[in-house]
Amino acid sequence: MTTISQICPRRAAWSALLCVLALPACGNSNSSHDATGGAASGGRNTGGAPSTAKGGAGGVSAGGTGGKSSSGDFSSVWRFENVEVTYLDSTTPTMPKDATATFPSAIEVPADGREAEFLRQFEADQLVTYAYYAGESAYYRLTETALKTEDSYVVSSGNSGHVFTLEEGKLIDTSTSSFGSAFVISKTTYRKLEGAFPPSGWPSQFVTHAVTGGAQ
Amino acid sequence: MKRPLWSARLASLALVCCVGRSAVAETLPSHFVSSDQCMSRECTCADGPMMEVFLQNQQNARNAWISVRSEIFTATGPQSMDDAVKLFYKRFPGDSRVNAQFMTCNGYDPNVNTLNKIAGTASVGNAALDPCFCDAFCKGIIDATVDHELTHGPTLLAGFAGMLQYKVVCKTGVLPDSFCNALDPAILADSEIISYTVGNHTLSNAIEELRDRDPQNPQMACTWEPLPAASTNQLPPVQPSGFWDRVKMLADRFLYGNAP
Repeated sequence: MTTISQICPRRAAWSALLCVLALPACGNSNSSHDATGGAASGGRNTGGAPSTAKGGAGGVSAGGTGGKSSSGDFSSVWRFENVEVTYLDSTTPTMPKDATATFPSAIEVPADGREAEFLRQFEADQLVTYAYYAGESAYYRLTETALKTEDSYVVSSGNSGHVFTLEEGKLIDTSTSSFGSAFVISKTTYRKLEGAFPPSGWPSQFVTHAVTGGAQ
Repeated sequence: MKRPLWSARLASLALVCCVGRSAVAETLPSHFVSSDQCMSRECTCADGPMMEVFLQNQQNARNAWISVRSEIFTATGPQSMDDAVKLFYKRFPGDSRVNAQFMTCNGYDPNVNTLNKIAGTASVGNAALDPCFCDAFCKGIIDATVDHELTHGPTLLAGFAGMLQYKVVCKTGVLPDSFCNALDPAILADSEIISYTVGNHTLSNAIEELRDRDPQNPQMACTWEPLPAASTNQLPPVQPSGFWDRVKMLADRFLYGNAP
């Protein structure tokens, strides 16, 4: 079982987390509900992958948790690996619920039932999420503003706050989110994508979209 | 051709809902065309009134989604995307004037142009539309609809990426269903709100351009009178909860007529 204290493994992460907790309450100017210009879908880009992961000989990982990946830095491209969650609800007297899970390499998107792959990278003070539906001729490049601190990135979206740190060559996202009466703390671990970006099987074309408001 | 009022009401509801909720990449009807083949005429001053009505309609739809979103993660909030859509339907009657214009398209066929779908995303970065919709409305409205559609794809994925850790953990069965089931409607509602924001912004700009300059006479600006109000564009009355409130409502109706 994971406890809350275990979820935030570093003192630096805790202090950053406290900072993040305050962000949603301070009013997020990027709130989708208030945006007048809203998000902007860019046109389709041809070629020119946004960035190439450095180093990393060897093949592309096939998902799951198996295999040892090399160390990465914030500019590396990262694949979701596993997550630990603590769930609390102020309206129920039960103890906090803890759960862990491993990410599959592709995940079914509920809106359309198709599977998509997700990768992440920090690039020029932005958190970039790459999302690709198998078989499509282009992938999405979704950007969010990220605040760089000494040894972390902070991303605030909607009612969620995220602190990204590096631990033992892996990217760690410690997040807090509120959902009505529920409060969820999670620690998501990413492993470095081995090989070049885009991965094998992905197209070279992409559509850029600036995310101006997060889901919750 | 004159159509029954109930038909126009039903169709207007369907039309607007579809404008809002298309992006979920289901199989699009075969008669849909890509946005670059959507043969719409340029907007003129004469289109100004309908553009305003369409924009107001879309703003109402956005407000309805905001209201739906505010109930997600509450005890009685939507527990599926379908729940969220149904709640949206309840709160958004649509404007019959928009639907009436849709049905004026060349070759309108209720068996083909069913109005339960007028636009969608054909593939990443590509929108597809019902040619009837393209024919019935001017380019400013079409462009706004395309922008709306193209926003759905990335916003659904962005929303999903933001919830990914919860979606995966929910499969373990440890977290409450009420929480897990609310994730999808939240993703959908957020995508709808952002997509409406983007589309409405595009349409608002197109209206402002017309107000600044008549495309057919660039030295002049467009002016227009608003369309007559739609008789159906109002929310259904709320049923009183208490017995005496109902008696009072009946008495008021008897004394003052049907108006609230």
